[in-house]
Amino acid sequence: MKEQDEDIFDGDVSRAGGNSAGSGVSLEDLLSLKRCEKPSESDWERFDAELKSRMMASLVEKEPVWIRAGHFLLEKKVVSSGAALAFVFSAVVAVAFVFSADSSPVSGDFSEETFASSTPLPKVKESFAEAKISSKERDESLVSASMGAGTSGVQYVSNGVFGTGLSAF
Amino acid sequence: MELAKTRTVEEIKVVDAGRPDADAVLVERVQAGDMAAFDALTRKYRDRLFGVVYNMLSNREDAMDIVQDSFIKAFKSIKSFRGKSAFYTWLYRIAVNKAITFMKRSRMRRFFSFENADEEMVSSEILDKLVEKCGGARETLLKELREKLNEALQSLSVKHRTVVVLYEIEGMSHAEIAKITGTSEATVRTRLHYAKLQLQSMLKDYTS
Repeated sequence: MKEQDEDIFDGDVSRAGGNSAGSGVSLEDLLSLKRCEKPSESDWERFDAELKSRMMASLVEKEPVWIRAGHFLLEKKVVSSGAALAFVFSAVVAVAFVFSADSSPVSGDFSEETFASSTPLPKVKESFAEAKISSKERDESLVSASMGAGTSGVQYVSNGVFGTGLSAF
Repeated sequence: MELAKTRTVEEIKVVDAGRPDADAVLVERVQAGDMAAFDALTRKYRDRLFGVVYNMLSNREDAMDIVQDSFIKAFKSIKSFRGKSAFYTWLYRIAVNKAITFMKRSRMRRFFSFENADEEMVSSEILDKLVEKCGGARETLLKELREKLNEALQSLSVKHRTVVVLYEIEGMSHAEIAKITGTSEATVRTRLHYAKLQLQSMLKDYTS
């Protein structure tokens, strides 16, 4: 082993195996005996086989659950969390609008038309209802009310969603 | 003349395979995706890596597992290996760290040595002296001595055991050990000195 390693390791002549001069046995001599404990050829064959299979397994190991969930969402074309949030917000606004309007089904420009028309519309209190207007005008007035009225518009919308819901149930 | 040239070329190839820069070539090939190059590195260093880890743990099955873990980690991290140190230093560092982590987690592991050491490798001169000093049959004495050596090494702290194994058993220099353990040469010498005093005390029945 020392001959093989000469090019790589700096040897110190006083280390194990080189101090057997004389009649005594040194600590270094005893430690040199440890070098003799080596695996057999069959042990190495088993080692190589196990190493190979473990390396293959490490190349195809499963990703953590939270990474897989992310991949799943991307695969199902929920493109980004921003898009998902935008969708949820639109749905909330649409439901609020539907609840605030007359019981007649909503038609017009809302993309959640199907959602609104399939849901039975409870009657809302008159104080929360706006005057009957066409869908387009309603859409515009709702937006302008929300934008221009400050908190009042916001309160209207939220009460329409939750307050009416509670009274319905 | 031609035969001589061929032999010379072969000798150069043999010498080249053992040179540290040969490792750099193999590492580049592994980084390029050549699995056969990694197999070559594994075969080159598994013996020595095993020797280090086994002598630190005194348990051959655990040592096998840790050496495998070390090669797997080296394989996974090889793209980040920049060649600032020699490949074998980097590899040894991985193995030593894994062994140290393992030892800290499982302090109560039992010794699990090889049943039979390669007796052809055991210096008959040393054994003869031991038999003369202690008496008894060679095989029995060798077995007893192996157990005593394991016990003595395990009695050392992790950091002291590491330097003794790397220096006395693996034949590394103080500089190499310092790089592997992330310490200075002075620290390595100090730890080695202390560790040898401890071992000397425990093995005084066998030494002169």
